[in-house]
Amino acid sequence: MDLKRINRLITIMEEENLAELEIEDEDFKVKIAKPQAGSIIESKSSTHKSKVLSTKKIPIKKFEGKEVFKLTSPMVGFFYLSQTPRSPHYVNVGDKVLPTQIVCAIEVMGVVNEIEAKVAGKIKKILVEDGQPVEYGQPLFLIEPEEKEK
Amino acid sequence: MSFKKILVANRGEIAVRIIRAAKELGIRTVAVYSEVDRNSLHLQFADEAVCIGPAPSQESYLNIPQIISAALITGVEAIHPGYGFLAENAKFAEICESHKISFIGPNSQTITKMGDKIEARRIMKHAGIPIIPGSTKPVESLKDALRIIEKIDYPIIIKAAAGGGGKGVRIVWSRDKLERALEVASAEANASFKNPTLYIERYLHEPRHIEIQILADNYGNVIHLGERECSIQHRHQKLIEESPSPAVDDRLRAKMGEAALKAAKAVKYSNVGTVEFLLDKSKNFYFIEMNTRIQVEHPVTETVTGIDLVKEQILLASGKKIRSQFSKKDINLRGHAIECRINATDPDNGFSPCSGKIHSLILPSGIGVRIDTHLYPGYTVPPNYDSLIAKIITYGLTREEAIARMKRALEECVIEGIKTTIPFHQKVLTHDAFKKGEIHTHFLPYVINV
Repeated sequence: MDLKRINRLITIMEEENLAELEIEDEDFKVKIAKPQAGSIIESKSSTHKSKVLSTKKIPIKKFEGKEVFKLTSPMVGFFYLSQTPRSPHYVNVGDKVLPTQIVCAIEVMGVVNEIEAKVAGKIKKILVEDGQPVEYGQPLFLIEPEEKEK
Repeated sequence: MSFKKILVANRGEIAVRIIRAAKELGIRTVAVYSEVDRNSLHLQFADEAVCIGPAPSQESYLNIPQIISAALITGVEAIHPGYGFLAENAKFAEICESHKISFIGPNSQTITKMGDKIEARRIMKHAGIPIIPGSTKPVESLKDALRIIEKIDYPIIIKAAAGGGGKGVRIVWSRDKLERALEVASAEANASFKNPTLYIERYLHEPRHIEIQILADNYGNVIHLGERECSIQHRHQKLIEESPSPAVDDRLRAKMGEAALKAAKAVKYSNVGTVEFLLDKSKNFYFIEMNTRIQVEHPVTETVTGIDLVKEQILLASGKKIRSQFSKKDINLRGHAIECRINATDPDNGFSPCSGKIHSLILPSGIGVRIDTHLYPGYTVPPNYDSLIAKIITYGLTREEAIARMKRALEECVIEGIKTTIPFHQKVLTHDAFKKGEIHTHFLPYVINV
């Protein structure tokens, strides 16, 4: 790698006030990009249609002496345990779930987003009451993961 | 009807500023925050706080569904957008309106009109407000550009129609550089605003940036609160602002104020706004744009007028009329105020951003000193957002006193752990031309190497 050349390119980027620079010739190819803090770009995760979203992180926590997964809310909204007030709950404590199984719904601006369990296991605890507001990252369920191959 | 509870869709010093104004009005507040801002000061001051997403702005402070959802779950009547982020996003204002949440600012149509800089120029020209000679239509080809340049001559400045923050801006001094400049500016405008549309203006030599603060209610009443001079800039980012301007006398103030009122009325403006002008050496002024939000530098106007602009913003949005005591004769600019923006940037290294932990912090105080900040000892400045960490505003009976007080305040100020713009400000304040008030928007290279 030609560090001098890269440094020179960064200087050009600064001077020209460029957000991104891509150069390619026979033996050299580089792309440099600056993070764009505060720039106004529409959010990619805008949800106007109902769709299934899942959390990125699955933090592990101790519960009743066992290691459990903490399923957190990927969005701000109202938390629902069933599709409609009259329909049965998606899951109940003690139920076994699969990673793609819907466990709850979160309503954002009138749009219902169904949330997946993310892991295979057993629902140990439901941490939010039906109809309550939740914030991003708020723990929703504790799920005891299925034992892997014995 | 005044609001009982509002949501502040912002972070940092401006979120703290807005919460303070709401508290004084007896209004409850909801803060929103990203995961990296969990320990931020605005959460501590607000009555409620809602986490709206991870650190990147696109997924939190720019995430319209999450912010509207936070407003709905907390049952607020209004949203204050602050500046930056969604403050001048017409779509956001429109969504607020459709959810019966008041957007604290002008209506979405006004934001759309003023957000399109070509449209804004057209409206202002039509209203009889002087604009910088140049295009009143989008420049779509080299031919278009050449036709305009024939009338105004080089140097010219290319700007983005959806512009802001100096993105998509290029200065061209001669014909041979034109084609490439158009290409780069258009690509940059497209990358920043998803809109490659450009326009061209004559490039003024060393002008001053002078802006007029206006207040407008929902019933057609508009007043202005004098000017701010914001000529000390780095790449179109303001660094020092003051009011009054050393270049503006009562007569010019009256003329510019009148033009600003005309501009506001031309778009049926409501709420707080700013009409920006460039002032050339012969004291001709030209409209450049209108900002439909509270501005970073609003405290200098507050200091010389005694009016709390953020409170007025909230009251006007709730349908109050402009107070009768703000009638023309009562608003005098008393004394002089200066603001220095303390940014977490390194002035010796091209103002590149610095993030990190504040190990120790001593903020200046004493007579005539105001600090707007979200800093506290032990706070970590995240790398994800704007670098503004504090604003120091000093007041003096005269400009000299305000400058002397600012020097004293900067000397007292200790921010350990990260680099800041304090050494830069100290250089500017001792510069002869600055002391004489002989400043312009290309002043920086005279003070430091940039």
